[in-house]
Amino acid sequence: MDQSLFGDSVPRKAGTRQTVAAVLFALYLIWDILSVTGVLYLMLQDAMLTSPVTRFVMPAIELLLPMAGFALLIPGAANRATKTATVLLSVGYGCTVLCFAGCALSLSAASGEVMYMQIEQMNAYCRWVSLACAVVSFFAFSVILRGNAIEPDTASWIGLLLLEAMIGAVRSLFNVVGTVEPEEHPFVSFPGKVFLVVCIVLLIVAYVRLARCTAFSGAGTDAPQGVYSPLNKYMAGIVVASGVTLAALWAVYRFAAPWLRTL
Amino acid sequence: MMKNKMTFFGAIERNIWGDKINANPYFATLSILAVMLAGAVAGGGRLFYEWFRWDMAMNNVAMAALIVWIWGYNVAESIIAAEDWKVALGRSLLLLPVLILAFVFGAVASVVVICLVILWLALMFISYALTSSGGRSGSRSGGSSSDDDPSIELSTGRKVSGTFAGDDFHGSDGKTYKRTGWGSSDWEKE
Repeated sequence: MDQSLFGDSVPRKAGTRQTVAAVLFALYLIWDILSVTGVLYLMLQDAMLTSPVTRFVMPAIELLLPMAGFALLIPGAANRATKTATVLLSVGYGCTVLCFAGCALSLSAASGEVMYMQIEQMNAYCRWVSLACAVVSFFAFSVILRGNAIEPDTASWIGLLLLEAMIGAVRSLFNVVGTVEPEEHPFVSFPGKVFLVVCIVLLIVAYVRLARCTAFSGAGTDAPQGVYSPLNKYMAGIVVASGVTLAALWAVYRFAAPWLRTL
Repeated sequence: MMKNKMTFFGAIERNIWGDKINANPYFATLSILAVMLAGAVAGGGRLFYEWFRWDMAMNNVAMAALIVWIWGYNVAESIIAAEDWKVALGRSLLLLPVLILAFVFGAVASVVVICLVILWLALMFISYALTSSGGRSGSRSGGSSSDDDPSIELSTGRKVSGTFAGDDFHGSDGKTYKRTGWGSSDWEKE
């Protein structure tokens, strides 16, 4: 199996757009690593401590990168289905950018001191929009996988992008498992952050492979019939896995946690 | 070969299910290593505090939730990568005890495991870099190095697929091409 980082060779004109998109995706994920490791917070802590608006401005700027990356890939889409999926991805990220930017503007325009409840309300709006974007993302990636003859090695990497969408969905729905103390959240711990960073590094490779794959090289065959159907193994997989994960987490916090706290 | 050893779970699942599973070769292995590290940090917390005054106290509930969460991602990957539901179910059920055992092993062996995981990650990165640079040097010598479909680019810009035979290239069009230089397009028909 060819495991070279940049995947198959592509025609030069399409390759430039694809390479720029790959760079934008990589920057977005490097920003994510800085955020997960707390480095971003250290760099911006003065701004973040003085204004709650910064918490909404930073994600809005960050999400411009994948939005622009997918927009660059639209012209090179191999067929109509891939073009539709890429437009959905770009628009999905665009809507999330607008949500965060709107919340930032709303808070900055508010007269008087910003209340904690207002910030929590804005967080809730952004969480629901992010969930919708995650659902749209894994539908779009499933269309790209099913609508193109992508080689198995690249397809296994693109599968990780569906997992990324699942991360977003499970995080948005994490409150359903019940009230969780901050120190009992799985990704607050050092091993949790290590796993997140490792995942993001893998996602960088996955996004580069996606951007430079044949689905965006400008030439391809029509997608098969039924490519838009949401009843496929990718959508089923994410729904089943998200449900199983949330159910298992609920069981841990409801039944196992009292015993684990005594150890 | 080195890459297969570094991604040991990928090798195990290929042995069990062959072509019926097309999971990412790195994700499951790295998940197991991450859980092992979680166990090592949880088990070695007291030791690191006594040696270096590092406060590595881990919350048991957080560790249990982390194992479940990582398993959940691998369930998703099993479903996405498997050809049928039996393979997906088998892989998911195989991974759960493997993750739990990895955590327990990490907790028992703690400090040794932390050093081993760091070494493993370094070796995995090196094997990936070596594999990638091997692919790119194949391209510099004038051909695509894809194992599935080698091809060359002629001076006219046309691409021809086929097989390499020493310094020659037998094209799928029935013609043989000889290298005339070391550039990527320095190939001509014999």
